[in-house]
Amino acid sequence: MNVSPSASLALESRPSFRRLLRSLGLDPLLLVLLVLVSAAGLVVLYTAGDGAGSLVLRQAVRLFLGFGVLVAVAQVPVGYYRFVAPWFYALTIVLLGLVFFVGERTLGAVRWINFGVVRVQPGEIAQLALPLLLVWLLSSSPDPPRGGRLLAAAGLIALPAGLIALEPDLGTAVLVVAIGLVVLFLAGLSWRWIAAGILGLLASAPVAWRFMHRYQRERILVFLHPSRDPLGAGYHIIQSQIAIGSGGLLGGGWMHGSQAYLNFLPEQTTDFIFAVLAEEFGFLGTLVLILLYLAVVFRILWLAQRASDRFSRLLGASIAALIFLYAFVNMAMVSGLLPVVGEPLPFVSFGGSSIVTLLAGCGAVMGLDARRSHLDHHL
Amino acid sequence: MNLRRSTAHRPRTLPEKVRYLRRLAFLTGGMLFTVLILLLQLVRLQILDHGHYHRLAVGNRTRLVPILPPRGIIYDRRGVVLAENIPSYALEIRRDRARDLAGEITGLAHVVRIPKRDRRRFWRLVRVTPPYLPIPLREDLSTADVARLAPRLERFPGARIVARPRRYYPLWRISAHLVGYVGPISARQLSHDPGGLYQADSEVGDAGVEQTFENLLYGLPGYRTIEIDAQGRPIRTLGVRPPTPGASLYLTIDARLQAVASRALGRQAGAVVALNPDTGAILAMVSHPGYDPNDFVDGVRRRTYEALTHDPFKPLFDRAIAGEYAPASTIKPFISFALLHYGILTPRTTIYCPGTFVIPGTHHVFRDWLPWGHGWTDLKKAITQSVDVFFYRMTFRLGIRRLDHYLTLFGFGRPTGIDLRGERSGVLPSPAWKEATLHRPWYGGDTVMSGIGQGYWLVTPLQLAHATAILAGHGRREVPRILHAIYDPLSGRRIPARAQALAPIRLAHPSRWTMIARDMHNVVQSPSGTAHNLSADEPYPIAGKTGTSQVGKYRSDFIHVKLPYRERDNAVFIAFAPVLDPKIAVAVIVEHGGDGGLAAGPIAQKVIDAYLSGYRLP
Repeated sequence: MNVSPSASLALESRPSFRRLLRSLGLDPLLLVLLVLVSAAGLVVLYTAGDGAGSLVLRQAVRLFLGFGVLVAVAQVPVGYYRFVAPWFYALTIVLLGLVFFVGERTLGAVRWINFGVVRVQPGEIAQLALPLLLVWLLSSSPDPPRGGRLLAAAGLIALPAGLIALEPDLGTAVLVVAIGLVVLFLAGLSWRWIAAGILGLLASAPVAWRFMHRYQRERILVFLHPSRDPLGAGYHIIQSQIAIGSGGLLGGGWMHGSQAYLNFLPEQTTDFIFAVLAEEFGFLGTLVLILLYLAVVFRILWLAQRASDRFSRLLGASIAALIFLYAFVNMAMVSGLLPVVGEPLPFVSFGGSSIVTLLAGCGAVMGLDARRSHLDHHL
Repeated sequence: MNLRRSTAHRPRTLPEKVRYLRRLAFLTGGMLFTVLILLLQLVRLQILDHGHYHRLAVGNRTRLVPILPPRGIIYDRRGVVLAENIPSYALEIRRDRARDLAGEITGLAHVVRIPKRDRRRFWRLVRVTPPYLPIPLREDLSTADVARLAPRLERFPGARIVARPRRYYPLWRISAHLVGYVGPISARQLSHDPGGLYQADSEVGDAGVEQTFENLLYGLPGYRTIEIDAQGRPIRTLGVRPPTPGASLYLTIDARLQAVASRALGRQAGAVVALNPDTGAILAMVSHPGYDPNDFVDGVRRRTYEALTHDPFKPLFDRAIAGEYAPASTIKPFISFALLHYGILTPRTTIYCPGTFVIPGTHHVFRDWLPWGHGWTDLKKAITQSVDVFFYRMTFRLGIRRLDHYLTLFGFGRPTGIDLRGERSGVLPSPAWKEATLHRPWYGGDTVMSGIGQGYWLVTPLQLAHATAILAGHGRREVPRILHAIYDPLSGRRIPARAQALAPIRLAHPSRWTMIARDMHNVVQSPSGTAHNLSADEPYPIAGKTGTSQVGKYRSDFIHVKLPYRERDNAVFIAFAPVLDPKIAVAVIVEHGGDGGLAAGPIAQKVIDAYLSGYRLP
C-alpha cells in the first residue's frame, strides 16, 4: 500500500481528534451539527446587526462560553443529576420569585435579573430545570405516571409556569407547560389523561382569555388579522412576512436583504432573525436550517433511545423536544403560523441565556451517552 | 404450545423500554408533522406568493420623487417671447442632512430674512412631507441673498440653494388677459388630477392661453427612484426618468401690434380685437385696464389681489372675449345684408327721414340721432350717415324673426369658438330669448330698437371683430383662433395649428359684399361720414362703421353735454382695410368713450396703420 504522507497524516489525525472528543464524553456528530447551526447564526447575525462585527463578536463569546458549559456538563455522571435536580429546580423557583423584587423592567415585563456581570432570564433556566426535575421524579419508577406522582408532576409544572406567566411572559410560560407535558407524555402518561387534558385546555381557553393582559389579547387578535393594526401590533408580523416572502427560492444574497438592511424588520437580531435568513438565503436557506435543526434533534433522540437507564432516556428526549419546541415556535411565529410570543431561535438569535441553557442540555445528553453501560449498548 | 402460553401470559403493561420507544415514535411523528406544516407555510410565502411579497418589499424601500417638467415657452407669431422661464433661487431644507432642524432655521434667519409666513408654512410642510423630500424654506431669493448665503451654507448641512424655473411675462400688462398667468396649484385642482401629473408645488395655468393650453404647456413629469430606510431617509438614487418638457406655443398675435393697440387704448377702459379675415388668426387682442401677470406667479399677495378685485374697472376681467356691449350702429351693415336678402329693400330704395319714426297705429316715437332728420335716404346714405330712421322702418318691416335668423350667420348670439376659455356669447335679441330670460312678450318697439343695435343687443368685441372679418372676407367664416403653431421639443418639429372654417355665407348677388364695403369706406371717406375724422392722409382705403351706444336712459346725443363718466356712451368702431383686399379686421370698444367715430375710430386706425405699414415691409 502506497499512501502518501499527507494522506496518512489526515487519516491518522481524524480518529485521534475523535478519540479526544470521546475521551471528553462528547458526541462528534452532534457537536459538529451544533457548531454548524451556531456558525449559520453568526453569518446571519452579521447582516442583522447592520454589518457591525461587534455584535457577532459578542455572540461568538457567548457561544464559546456555551460550548464550554457543554463540555463541563458532559463530565457530570448520572448520579450527580439525580442529586442536583431538586436543588436546581428550587434555585430556579427562588430566582423566578426574585425577579419580582429585583428584576429589570423592559417593555412592561420583568424577565431579567442583573447580576452585574451577566443578566439572566430565570424563565429560560426554568425550561431546563423543570424537565430535569420531572425526569428525576418520573424515572424513579418504570411505570407510567399516575396518582400521587402525576399530581406532584402537575404541581411542579404549574409552579414555575404560573410565576413566569405573572412576569408577564405568556410565551415562555406556555413553553414551560409544553415541555412539562412532553416529559409526562414520554414517561407514558395514559392516553385517557392526555385526551382529558386536551379537552380541559380547550374548555379553559375562554377563562384564560379573561385573565390575559391587553397586549397579550392584542397579539392573538393581530395574529388572526395582521392587517388590524399594520403600523402597530401587526407591523412585526407583516414586515417579517414581507421579508420571508421576498426571499423567494434562493434569496437576495448575503447582505442584500432590503427589509433587514433598511431596518424595516423589527427585532432582527433576536426574535425575528429567521426572517433575515429567509430574505437573504431564500427557501433553500430556511430548508437547510430546518434540516440542521432536525438533524440535531434526531441525533439527540438517537443518543437518548440507546441510553441504558430510564433517567437518561427521558432527559435526552426532553432536551431534544425542548430544542425542537424553541426552534419550531420561533419559526412558526416569524412566518405567521403562531402569535408573536417573543421566543428566540435556538443557537442563532442574539442572546446568552437560551444558548447556554440549551448547550448545557446537549452537554448533559452527550455525557450521559458516553457513560451508558456497555451491556445495554449490545442489546 | 409453549410460545402460545407465553403470549397468553403477557404482562398487561409493556416493558418500560418498549413503551418509551413507542412514545418516542409518536413524538417524532408529531415533530415531522409540524415541520411539514412549517415547510408548507414557507413554500407559500417564499415560492407561491413570492411575487406579492417582493413587490411589497420593493414598495417598502423605494419611493418616486417627481421631477417637474420645464413649462413650454409662449411666443408671438414672429417669435417674440410672451412667457418664459427664468431661474429663481430658493432655499430648501433636507431634513435627513440637518442635524438640528430648529437650530438651523434660526441660524439661517440671521443670514437672510425669513418671513413668519414662510416659517409657518415650513413647519406645516414638515408634518405632511415624507422625510426623503426637501422642503422649501424661502423662495425667490435675491442675488444679494444668494451671495450672502452661499459662503455660509457649510454651517447648515441641511440647507441648500436651488435654482428653479420661474414664469416671467416680459410684456407685463400688455399681454395680461391673452397670455394669462400661472399660479400655485390649488388643493382642489390637485385633487382633480387623475394622471398624478402635478405636485403640491406645481404651477398651473390659471388664465388665458396659460390655462387653455395647460396640457400642452405642462409636459410630463419625470421621476427619480430612490431607496429609503424604515425611517424614510433617502439612502441612494436607483434610477432617473427625465421629464418631458412642455411644448412651446406660437400665438397668432403680433406683439408689436398688441403694444400699439394697448398704447392706443391708453388709460381708457375697453377692448381692441384685430384679426386676419383670411385665416381667422387673432392679430391683437387687448383688454383694458390690465394687470401685471408676474404678480400671480408664486401666488398673488393678498393685498395685490384685493386691490385688483376691488378696482371698479375690474382689471382682471377680459373685456375682449367676455365683455358684452350693445353694438349700436356698428350692427347696421350686417342688418343691411338681411334687408337685401329678404328683399325689404334694393340698393336703389329711397325713403324720407323726418327725424322720427312712429310704429304704424301707435304713438311710440323713435328718434333719429339727428333731430331734424336726414331727408331722402338710400342704403348708401343710411350707412354713411348712420341714419336711424331708415333702419327703424326697414327692420320693423323685416321683423325680428328674419333678423334673428340672418344675423346668426355672422356669429352673433353664440360663442365664436375661439381657442380660449371664458368666452361669452352675447345676446342676439329674439322673442324666444326675451321670453326665456325676461319672461315678457316681444313688442314691435323691441324690433325697432334691434334695428340700430340697441335694446337687448349684446356683443363681445371678439364677436364684433369676427363679424367684421366675415363681411370683409365676402362671407368667409374662419373660426377665430389664437394658436399659430406648436413647437414640440422632443421631435423638434413645429406643427402649425389647423384652421377651422364654417360654410361661407353666399349672397344671391355677391357684388353686394363690395357694395356694402364701399358704403363703409364712405363712412370714413365722405365729408358727411360719421368717421370722417379718420380720412386725413389715408395711404390705403379703410372701411369702417361707428357706433355710439347709450348706457343710460334713452336721450338724444346730438347736443354733447358733459355727463358723469358712468353715464357717458360707449364708443364702438369696426373697420377693415384695405377695402377691396382686406388684410385686417378690427373692432374697438371704449367704455364711456362717447362718440364712436371720435373715441374708438382713431384706435382702430392706429392698429390698422401699424399692421399694414408693417405688412408692406419684407
